[in-house]
Amino acid sequence: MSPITIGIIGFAALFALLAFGLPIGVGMAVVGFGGLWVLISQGAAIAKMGLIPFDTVASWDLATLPLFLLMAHVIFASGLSRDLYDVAAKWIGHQRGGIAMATVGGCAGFAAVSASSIATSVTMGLVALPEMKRYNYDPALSTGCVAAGGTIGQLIPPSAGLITYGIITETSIGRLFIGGLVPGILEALFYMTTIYILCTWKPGLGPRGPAYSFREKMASFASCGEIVGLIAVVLGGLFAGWFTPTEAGAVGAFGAIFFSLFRRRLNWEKFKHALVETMKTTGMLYGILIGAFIFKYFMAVTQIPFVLADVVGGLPLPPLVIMVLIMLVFVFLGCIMDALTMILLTIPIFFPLVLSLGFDAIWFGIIVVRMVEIGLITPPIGMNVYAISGIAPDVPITTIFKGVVPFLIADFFHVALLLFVPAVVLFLPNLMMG
Amino acid sequence: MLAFFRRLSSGGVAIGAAFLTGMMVLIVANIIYRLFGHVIPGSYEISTLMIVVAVAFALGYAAVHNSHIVVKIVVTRLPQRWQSILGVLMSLISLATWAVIAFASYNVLSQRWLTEMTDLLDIPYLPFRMIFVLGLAILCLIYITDLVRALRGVLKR
Repeated sequence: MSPITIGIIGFAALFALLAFGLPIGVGMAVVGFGGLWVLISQGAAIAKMGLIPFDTVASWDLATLPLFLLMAHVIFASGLSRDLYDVAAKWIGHQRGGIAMATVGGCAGFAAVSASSIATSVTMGLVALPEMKRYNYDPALSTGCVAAGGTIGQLIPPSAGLITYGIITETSIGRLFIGGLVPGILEALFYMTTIYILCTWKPGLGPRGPAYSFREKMASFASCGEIVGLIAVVLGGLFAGWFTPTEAGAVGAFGAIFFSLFRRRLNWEKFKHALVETMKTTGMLYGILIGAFIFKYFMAVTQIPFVLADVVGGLPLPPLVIMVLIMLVFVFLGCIMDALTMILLTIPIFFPLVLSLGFDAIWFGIIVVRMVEIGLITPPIGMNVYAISGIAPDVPITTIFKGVVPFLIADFFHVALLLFVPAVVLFLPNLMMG
Repeated sequence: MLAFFRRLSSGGVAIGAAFLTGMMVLIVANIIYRLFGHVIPGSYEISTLMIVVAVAFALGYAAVHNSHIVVKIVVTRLPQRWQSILGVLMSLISLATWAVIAFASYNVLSQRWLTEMTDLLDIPYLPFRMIFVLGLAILCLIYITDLVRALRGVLKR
């Protein structure tokens, strides 16, 4: 049997095992191990099972993830995330659909301290959903905007998706972070525009919230001045090259603890809770990453990524058409898989192909993360939707899925913009890092 | 039994969290030192070793709290009996996979225990590989209790 056939069988076995409920990390590890055993030898497969997990864990680059997770959990535990929402609510809450727009703004703000879409959705959902209920917002719009708004979390740095992509493809995480900034802000603007159009068309969907004086609006900035300063230092320091992404994560976590203590928002219990939650998520992420790196090694041995690059690259199709096909694969996978799994499974396969077609690695990273984000709000998996369902049990899940439809339409235009105007992604990294 | 592993894993996660916090402080201290034109020698090496301790214990803690991601789209549509049988099978595969990783990691530890040092500070990797194997062993114990629980579920039916 050829290595490629074994690779294809491995893929099929992996999908079957995942469908039967095997944890994703274990699935990738067991298939990778079995594949290496067949392709090389039993001894080599066991040796790799001993080397890859420790090398994955003892990685400076991957340490970025737990540090940014700690930063987000501390900010959440201390309630500083609410201040970000309050600023947006005071400035635009009085518009039609203003509280929903403020929620999206809050999501964009929290995205700058959180590496996860689900965390962004849940954090903002806990704050904003009761507010929108109080002002009689349509449940589909209120839950839909929180579920979709959370997806900004993976685009605006820090982002677990971009970190994972950067490590798998050995692409600069700093450049990826800078590349995600403008598309992330644009995504938030697209969502706000969608809400504005919806609420202008049907004013009952999102009634006006209370209006605040200019003094109150300015005062709201003071309440979250520290957190805005922290975001500026973390991202600014990263962009200016003062520190690496892992160092930025450490500065962010340290700053979050410092400011929370300074504002008397963090006590021992809250800090302990933030640490425990960070450890839980860290364990979950590394469980997947260990499996993914074993699977990636297996894929490299099968040569599938390189053969695929040769075959597809030789097709008489324009590169852009092939890219659209790859994106459709992501849309399909997004219906059955979570974001991290999609990145870890597909990137080792698609990355050599995409480079051979002449696309930019940074641009592709942003496209990939954007596509897997869309998977977070599409049925039947749509993990953000399920997360919001967990905190809004009175809203049927079908209503939440109905609520994200207008945002999926906005996503279509946003992705088209990124696809046809790569400068939207590449302008800033090229300007700042040459 | 599970209660004991929960306690064991909670103890481990406290150590892991302390190392994660320590790593954060070390990195920030190094950045502050750098502002004054100095560096903490080997801070990079120490950090990568500290994260090993944090992750070693985090793996088991995530398993105790069922945080490892599972795609349930097909399983939940099957009859309850089949769900239980698949639960046993998946627990068995999970246990076997982590056991192989633990065994293979122990093999590496026993082969390299005298020779493997960090480049700059010559810190031996041995204690950290041992902690990693310990973390994997705790994870395997948790999966054993998972398996026993799943088997009991099948037998009850």
